[in-house]
Amino acid sequence: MVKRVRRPSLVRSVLDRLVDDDVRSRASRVPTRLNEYGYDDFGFTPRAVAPVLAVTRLLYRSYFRVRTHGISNVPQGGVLLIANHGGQLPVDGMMIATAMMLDAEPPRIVRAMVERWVPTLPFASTLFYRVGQVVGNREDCRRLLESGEVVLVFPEGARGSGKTIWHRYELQEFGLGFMRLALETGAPIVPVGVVGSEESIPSVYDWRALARLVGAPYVPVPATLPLLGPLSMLPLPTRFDIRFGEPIRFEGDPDGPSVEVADKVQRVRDAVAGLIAQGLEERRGVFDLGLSRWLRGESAPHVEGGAPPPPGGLDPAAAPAEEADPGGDEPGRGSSPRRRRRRAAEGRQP
Amino acid sequence: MSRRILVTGIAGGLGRVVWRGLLERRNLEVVGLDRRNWLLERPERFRYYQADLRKRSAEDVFRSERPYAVVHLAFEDDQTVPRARRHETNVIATQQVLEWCARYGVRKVVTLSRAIVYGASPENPAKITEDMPLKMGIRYEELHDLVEYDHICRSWMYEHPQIPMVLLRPVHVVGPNIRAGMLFRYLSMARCPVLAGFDPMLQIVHEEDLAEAIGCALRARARGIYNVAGPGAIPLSVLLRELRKPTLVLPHPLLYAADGLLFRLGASKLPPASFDFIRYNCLVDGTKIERELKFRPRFSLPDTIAAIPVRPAAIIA
Repeated sequence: MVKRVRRPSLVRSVLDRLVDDDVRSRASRVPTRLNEYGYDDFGFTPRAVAPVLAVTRLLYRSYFRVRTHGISNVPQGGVLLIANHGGQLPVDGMMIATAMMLDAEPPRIVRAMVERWVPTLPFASTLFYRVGQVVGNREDCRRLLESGEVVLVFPEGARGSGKTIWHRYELQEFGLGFMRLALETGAPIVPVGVVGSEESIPSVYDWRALARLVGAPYVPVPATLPLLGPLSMLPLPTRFDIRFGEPIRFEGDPDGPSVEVADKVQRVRDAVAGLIAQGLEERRGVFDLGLSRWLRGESAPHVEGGAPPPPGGLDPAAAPAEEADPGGDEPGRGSSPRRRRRRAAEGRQP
Repeated sequence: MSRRILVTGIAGGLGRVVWRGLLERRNLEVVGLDRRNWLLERPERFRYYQADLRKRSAEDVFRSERPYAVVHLAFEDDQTVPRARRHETNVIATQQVLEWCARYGVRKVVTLSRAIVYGASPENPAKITEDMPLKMGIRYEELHDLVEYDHICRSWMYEHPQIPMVLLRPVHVVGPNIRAGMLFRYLSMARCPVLAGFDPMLQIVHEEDLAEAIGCALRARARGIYNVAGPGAIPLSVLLRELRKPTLVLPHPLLYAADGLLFRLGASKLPPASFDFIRYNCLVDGTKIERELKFRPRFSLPDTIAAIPVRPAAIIA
């Protein structure tokens, strides 16, 4: 907030260009109770969502070219999304949240349970709170589920996101907390499998000593470090594939013995593993930029996936072409074939 | 039959608001007790005693007046007062008062802790309920007397189950009469320091709403600990913008270090630890008092903000 007030010119003008009516209307349609100043009790304000969503939409559609499957599995009302976690930065959470804002109807704000050290970070903490993220704790999670919000939990926590590239898509141990909350509130659980995230920053080494020194849960050393330097901490344009599974409802004693709860958690873990396996099997490559197909001159509409992203993957021109595209609402395969057709019709080279 | 309410610390800002509220009720008599001088009028149903709670003379007030209820508002809030003296007023005198309550047949006790006693920390939930641990003591040695005050009141509550006690934990109190408290001192600065990149949510409650909550605590046959949350939460930046306060944006390590030095030199009225409250959330859940004592703040969030004196610094001088 403070930062934005201090220097409005550049950041503002770029954001103003990105924020269009679609983003604005989606942000304003989020069903959350707000006070006179437009904030909820957690520090969330829809005003902050529009510019952030404009940026993540660009990443979602043009950089990670996310394929979302089964988003209609997410029921209305309080629901827990349980996903695998990987890739050092919480890009997976960001993309799941963007999917729920862009492809779910009505758009829903995902309230992720973030690491407890996030509130200690300047700027990031404020940004996280404003777009509806919540520090991971039982009371808030229960409160959110009871008021009908979508809560995203990565039960692997830092164990998952900090793992090196050698262990990609190996599910780590799941915490039990989310299951106790599901039993307590009766909220259904939707397993989510994310593929693509775990290669986005290929860390070859977890530098524990430095992590302890700076108070972070882990410090990755990306394989691309010698090549890209500090830029290697930015995620690569891997192709994301997000699968929402069938909702699962559990019944039982929320304060029961850990063994019983762990059995139920195992069912969710298996479901997540199944979705990941499916995603890995169906993907054509880690990056799937379509370079080889493009080189072979294949550009028939039936070819799924599509256009290689423009250099850097962040071409603002790509966004307006998609906003009018009703295919974005289609759950599942996204809008790529239509986009290709449209581009062909406009005589633009992908 | 009119009931006699003894109010300690009545000459303070909140004390005067509570005093006015209590006298509006026809069936009450108010006995004031404070070490300061009483400057306002003394109507019929009001008696004032100037005495120090640390002295035996204060006990005589209990002995001769035999109050029905005691509202214990006396609390040394000024962090620049030496710690030993604050401890005498806030801990030893409180223990004393509670002992007298038990000895002289008091039937109802209301004490006032503060919501900051939960401490501002990164892992705080967005709504702290009454049963959560008081974490202020972990980091804020300078403010430890408040934690101890809270503990004394709670243990007394369980030692004397026959005397219903209500311990209130209000959020930052604001209003034209309030000239104490962490938020007041913060807003009194010529330029309010803001930590770069941090913008926590704050809860404020109007002085008259808090007086009303104290009234609810007295009226009902209530017993227990209650947060008083006020009408809602707003980000610090919004509060400062509404008040048109000039701010000074500083990186947090610099502010903590600079204030540590300034506080020791007496140039700052807030110990460094108090800046955690403009860094992390410390938000309380006010639904218990609403549910059980039927208390609801009458002042809306904009009205509460409007009640904050625009130039508090001028009032101090």
